[in-house]
Amino acid sequence: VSDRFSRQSFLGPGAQAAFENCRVGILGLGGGGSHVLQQLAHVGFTNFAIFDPDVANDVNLNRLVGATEFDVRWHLPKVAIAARVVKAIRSDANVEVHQCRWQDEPLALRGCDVVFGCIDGFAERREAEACCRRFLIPLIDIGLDVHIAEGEPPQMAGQVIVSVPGGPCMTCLGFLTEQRLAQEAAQYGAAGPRPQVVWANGVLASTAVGIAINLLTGWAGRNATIYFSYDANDGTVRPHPRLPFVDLRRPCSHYPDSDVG
Amino acid sequence: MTATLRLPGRLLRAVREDLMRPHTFALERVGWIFARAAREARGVLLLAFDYSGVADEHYIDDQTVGARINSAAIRRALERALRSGDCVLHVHAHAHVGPPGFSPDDTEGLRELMPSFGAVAPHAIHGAVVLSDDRAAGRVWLPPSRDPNPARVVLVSPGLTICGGEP
Repeated sequence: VSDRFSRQSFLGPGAQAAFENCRVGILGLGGGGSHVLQQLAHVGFTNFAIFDPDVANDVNLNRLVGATEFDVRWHLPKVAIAARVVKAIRSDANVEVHQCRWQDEPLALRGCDVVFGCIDGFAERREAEACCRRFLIPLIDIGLDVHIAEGEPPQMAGQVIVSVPGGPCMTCLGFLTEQRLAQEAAQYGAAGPRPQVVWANGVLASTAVGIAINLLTGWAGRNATIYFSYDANDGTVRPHPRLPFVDLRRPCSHYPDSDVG
Repeated sequence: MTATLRLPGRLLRAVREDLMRPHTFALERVGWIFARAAREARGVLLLAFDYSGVADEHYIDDQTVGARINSAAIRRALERALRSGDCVLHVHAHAHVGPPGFSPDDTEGLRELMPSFGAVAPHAIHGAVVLSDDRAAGRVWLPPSRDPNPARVVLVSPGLTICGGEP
């Protein structure tokens, strides 16, 4: 096993132990979460709690990492496909599978040391962040959107946000706003299928995994960016333009330090 | 049952800053971390949210140990445990890099101290933490056991440092 990770030894002598000692939660095992999980398994993480109520459908095959036509035919749960992917890479991995909404297994989520939010919608993100803050868990959230306007090429953009207890939250960063939440609530059930593609999900997942690696090893420096903006049309991932206007040292007012448990 | 203590970054900085202050005669400082307990699937979480250092005048001049505190310091922490039901963790620091450990003096002192906390706040989980410059070690007394259990300690920021135990 030691040879397996020789190409990433620059991460530091304690890196592999840190990965194996870290329990990772993944909320949503669709296009984003399946990518994240596969990468984490390759990197050497071995302890996972994964949450998704859905089964694989034909519409998922354009982006669901590890899914096959067989899985679709037999309506395999996305979490089962994900666990299979991990086990194929790392047979000794411990994958705790929850074929349900993460909200339905709160004790399993609380035990995670870091959580990846690979979920849709602003309201659910706020819920996940509130839960992670209460239990002092760093949350790495990814999201992708495609805007289609007549006469224009589709605009595909996304974000990766690191929400660490005590630091700026998604509201502090201006990503979660009352206006967005209200718009989403008003459109509930009317949004239709959201465009999603595997390569853009891969960029966001890779960025998110890189952030987790840096949290655990510090290889890229401790003052790493907490809010990335992805422009798929330009092919760029950059620190979000709003970041210079956020006081990163100011305590988050939305989740006070005393609001734990 | 596993026990995991999570220490958020701002609180951890405050703890370190206080513990690193020199004292007139004590060789090291001690303090109290306050936490709330919560269940998780495989055990219990201790979620730290507050800290209180021991006042200068509450140290006893005893050069045979790093720090010895008087009954007033202990009573103050006991009163808070009684009043709030919070979990209380004794904390001190060793100035080095790498995993710290509890010394024989630490172990003996805590063995005498911890039953008092269990007596005043029996439904809370109490324990001790020793910090190094970059890591930590923890012990908790899980009722009804009178012997300590090792605790995982997660330093939540800067970075994410997970010390000890099984994930």
